[in-house]
Amino acid sequence: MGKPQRFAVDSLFEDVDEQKQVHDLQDQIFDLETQMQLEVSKNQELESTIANLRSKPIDEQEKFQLESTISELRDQLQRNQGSIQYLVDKMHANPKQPRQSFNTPVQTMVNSLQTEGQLDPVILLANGMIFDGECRWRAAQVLGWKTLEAVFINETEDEKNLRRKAFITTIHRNDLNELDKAEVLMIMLCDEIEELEPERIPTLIGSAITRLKRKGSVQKLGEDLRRRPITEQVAVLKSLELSEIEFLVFKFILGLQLSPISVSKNILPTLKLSQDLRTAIRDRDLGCYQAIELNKLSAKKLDITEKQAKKLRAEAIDYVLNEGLSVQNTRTWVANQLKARQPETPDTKRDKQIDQLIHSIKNFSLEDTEPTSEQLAELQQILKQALEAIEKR
Amino acid sequence: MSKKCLPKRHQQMRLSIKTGAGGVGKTTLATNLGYEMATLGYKVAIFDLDPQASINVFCRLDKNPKPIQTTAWIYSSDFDGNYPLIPVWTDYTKNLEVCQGSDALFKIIPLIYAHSRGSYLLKDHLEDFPLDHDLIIFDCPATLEPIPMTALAASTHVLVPLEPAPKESDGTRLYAKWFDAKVRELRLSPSPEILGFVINGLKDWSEHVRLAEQLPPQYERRGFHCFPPINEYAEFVNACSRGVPLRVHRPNHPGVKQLQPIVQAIQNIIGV
Repeated sequence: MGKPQRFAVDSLFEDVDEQKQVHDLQDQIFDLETQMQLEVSKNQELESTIANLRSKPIDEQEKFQLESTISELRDQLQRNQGSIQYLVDKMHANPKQPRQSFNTPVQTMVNSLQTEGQLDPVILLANGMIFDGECRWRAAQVLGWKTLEAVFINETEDEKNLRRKAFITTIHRNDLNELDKAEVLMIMLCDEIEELEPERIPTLIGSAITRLKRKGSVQKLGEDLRRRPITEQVAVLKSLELSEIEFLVFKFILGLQLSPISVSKNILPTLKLSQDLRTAIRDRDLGCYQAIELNKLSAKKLDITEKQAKKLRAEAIDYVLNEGLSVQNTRTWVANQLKARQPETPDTKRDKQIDQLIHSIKNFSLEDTEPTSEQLAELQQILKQALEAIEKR
Repeated sequence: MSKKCLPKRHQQMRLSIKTGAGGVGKTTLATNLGYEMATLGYKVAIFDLDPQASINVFCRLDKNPKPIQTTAWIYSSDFDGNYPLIPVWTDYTKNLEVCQGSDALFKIIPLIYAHSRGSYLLKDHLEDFPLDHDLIIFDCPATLEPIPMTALAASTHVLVPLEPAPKESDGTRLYAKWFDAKVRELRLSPSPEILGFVINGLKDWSEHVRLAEQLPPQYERRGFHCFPPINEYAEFVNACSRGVPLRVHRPNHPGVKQLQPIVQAIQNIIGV
């Protein structure tokens, strides 16, 4: 016979746990029963409301409206806690939805719904407004589907939170374009920082970055920072001697896991786009960077009326889309257009250095050279910076 | 000496010190924690709910008080809000009072069973005649029924001391079951919170050391806090023998330091 076992700690509290499990289950049953009673009493209330309304003499129009309201109410009451098949007709878009460009994503979703079926339920607010799943909803309409699988969330969020959540769920999807991102980012920044005016934001960010470049500390804001813990982000921002408001703006952008530099360079310029270019981005999938180039064909620059400029841009959009021009090619093409249309104004005091530069760029052709891709990227970067500097003047 | 009731000032903590086994240092903790809080400026009352009335020894109080001078009186349906509180250790603090226990408590046990709100007698009277103390400690007897039930109903928090030995560890198992069942039975809402378990009287015996190591994770796994252990020190006994708290007897003794995590937790709840 071996030594008897010592007092066992591991199993000591087993019956405490069992008792707790029983109690937890009792609680769950109690909750479910309460919930059921609540549903029943809600239904009863609804029924009596319906009876009440029907007993009153009202005109046809009113009656129709009331009946439809009532039936909608009933539908809502009857839906259970899980996902349900919800009528596509009854859903409607969230006007604060960050995504405003639906052309391609909807087409993709149509294909996906046809081949895979609906993978995730759409998320609806109690009133049928779509919180998440507008592409699925639009695709279902294209396909003539009557219902979509849906779940409901409580409509307790304020607008600001709603936008923030919708933005964060959408922003890291690759197919959200820069224009959508820029617009919603403006709204969110103004929500977050009260004293901020939307029209000031691009300049504020741009000039802060230019200042950091001059001081040589801009690389601290580099691509990696957005993925670092918030404490580290704050420490870096504090070391940059930013103004209070710049600090808040940068912190917010980093908090969305975006890089302030790339926001300034790639996202914010889309805010300067004319309305016709925005429409082309949204309805015809014109690339944002191409649009930024085409935006240079402005009435002011060409010294023509707005109507003429719009017509010119319309042709340009068609051309870029039909030819499938790259950003680079669009840029060259726009430059040529500008040159061709700009009246030659003899300037009395021309800077010689600039004239030399113009001359060498004019004579420059890639066809005569064999550059490496690294060189090309470097060249592109330098030209881009030069272009930005020119635009700033 | 009696104390007229005053309106409640702010967040009052009512702390039961209770476990499922005897001799684990409940009264040692009650008196020393009470004194620690009093020296920090909190107004403290200790209710001795044990018929053995050991606080009388700790604080050198009259061993044969009249029933009306003890906690038994608070359970009476004639109770008028005059709490029989006695200031103790007055040479060292002005903030600590004790309501003595006595064997008169045996007589109120049938009263608790017979009364329609028996389990809530203490709670009801503390609500009808509120005390302005920041902290009220209920020093409970080792039995589970029915006086500790009245303390549980009246408590906002519970501290569960144990000696790291088989019988006393098993006492905490009994206590955890009892606590869960009574909170439901009495429909206490909000439920009192378990402030934590605390290993008390830890010796360097191997079985003590093993259990002091293995028990805390068991409590924590079930969502209960477990305070760092307090060692068995002769000075706790010596202080008691001289009728003073440990801090007065030996201000720099390690035992005083070992009380501080609990003091801190109480302070966090009452507020500064």
